[in-house]
Amino acid sequence: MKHVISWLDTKCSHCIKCLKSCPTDAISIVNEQVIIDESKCIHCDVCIQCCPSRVLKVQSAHMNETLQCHEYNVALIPTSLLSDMKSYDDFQEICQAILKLGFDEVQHYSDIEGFLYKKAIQESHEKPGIWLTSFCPTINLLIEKNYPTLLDQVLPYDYPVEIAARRIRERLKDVDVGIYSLCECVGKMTLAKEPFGNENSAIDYAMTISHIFPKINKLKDHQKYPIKMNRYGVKSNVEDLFGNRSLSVVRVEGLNQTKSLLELIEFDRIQHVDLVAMYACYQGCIGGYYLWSNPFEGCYNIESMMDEYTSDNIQLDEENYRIDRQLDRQEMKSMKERMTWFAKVNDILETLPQYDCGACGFANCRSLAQSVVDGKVDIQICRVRKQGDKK
Amino acid sequence: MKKVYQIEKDNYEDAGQASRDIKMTLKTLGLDPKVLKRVSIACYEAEINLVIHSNGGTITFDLDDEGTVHLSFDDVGPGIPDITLAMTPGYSTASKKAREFGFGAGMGLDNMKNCATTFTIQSSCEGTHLQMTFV
Repeated sequence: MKHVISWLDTKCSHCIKCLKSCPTDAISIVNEQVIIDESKCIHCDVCIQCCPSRVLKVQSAHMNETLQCHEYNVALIPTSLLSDMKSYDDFQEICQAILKLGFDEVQHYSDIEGFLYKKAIQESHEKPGIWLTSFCPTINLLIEKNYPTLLDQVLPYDYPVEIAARRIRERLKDVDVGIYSLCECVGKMTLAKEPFGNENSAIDYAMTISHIFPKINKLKDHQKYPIKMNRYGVKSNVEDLFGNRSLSVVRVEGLNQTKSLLELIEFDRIQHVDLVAMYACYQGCIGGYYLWSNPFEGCYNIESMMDEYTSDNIQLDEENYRIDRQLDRQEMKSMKERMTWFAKVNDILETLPQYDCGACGFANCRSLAQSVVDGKVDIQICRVRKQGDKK
Repeated sequence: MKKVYQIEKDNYEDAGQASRDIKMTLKTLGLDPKVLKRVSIACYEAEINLVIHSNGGTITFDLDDEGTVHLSFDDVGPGIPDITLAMTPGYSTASKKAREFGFGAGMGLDNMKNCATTFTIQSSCEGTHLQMTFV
């Protein structure tokens, strides 16, 4: 996979807001270069949003050239798009406008989300213990990288958008089909071959929904595209609508709250809950960074159309939605070597001020100490320590 | 690698801090998640026990070169009168205050024993000494 969030150095003011706000300490600034450590980055949007110079960006696939490369082009639209609409007519008109961009078909995957939503509630209820579920790639990466002890409690479901793409390929197996995923958030942009090189994906191209919005807004008229969204799929996208407000299903939104909850689960302190549904964004997927409206009103928009959604269910076979989430454990040094490294980091940390000011370009003194031990930077970059030496 | 934590009696607000630090250390060191999970659960449970039931004590965390985790919990009393009874799932002597905090379900000792690879406990009125190892 390529770097998802890229830094354009042109107007960067080196203000350290990005590295201080990163929830996984993935950012550092060394020699005035902003470095995003892909092994730590979980593709949330926190740094992008907090950057006052707007120099952190996510590349989008450009469809102008690629549409001609395939015989048949399909656009997959996110369910959360509904939250930007004032009425269901509005939504169908937007879908027609997306078709007019040059696609042969506009597809949704709320039926698949609905199936997995019901499956998650049922399966977590039947099996003992507490289960975790999220359609959010950012949350799943957070668990994989920072809470690996909980991986075996994550329901082993693939992403609905991936399942949808595979079904399209199956249906059109004799056709050269190009599949485009329109994304409401940064995390979902990683579920495609282009632009970030996720070769395991069944999706060819990922584009931000905001990227195409000016065009579809111009193409929109009173023509409607017949599309039926699934009620349970809609519910699975919105934090407030997930589950039925019972203790057996708990929802959590935002990375900080999710981290607190995962900490408790690691200590086995959540004991009366069957299922935890997690979202990185406020109010769930409708809080996605690339939607043009806002989740505050969006929640009401999406709920006001509840009568328009269908309750028809689809059925999927296990082999079509189950995946094996194995932790890919890298070759590591022996425990003895790791402990020696850790002891060195702690020794250096003792000589640092531990205010975690960030002035050196690292999120906290521990990160600086680790980089010093790894031989990447010199301890002299700590300005506070230098000041102390002079006195 | 060794670290000792002081645990105060009845300090519910800070209860769990030692376990959090131990968990963080082991995560940074890249301990096998399957082992870490058992360490986290047992360590937290035992730390809470010290806060609720004992007159205070210490937690000693040790990690040897092979990656085996050794935890020992030593308090200064009042001791467990009947260990066999205390090991019974559901049996609890936790105070009303402890229960209000959501602790004291009476699964503690049994749960810890299930998590640990080795588990030993001795108790007298001078104190309880619990040792666990995790492989």
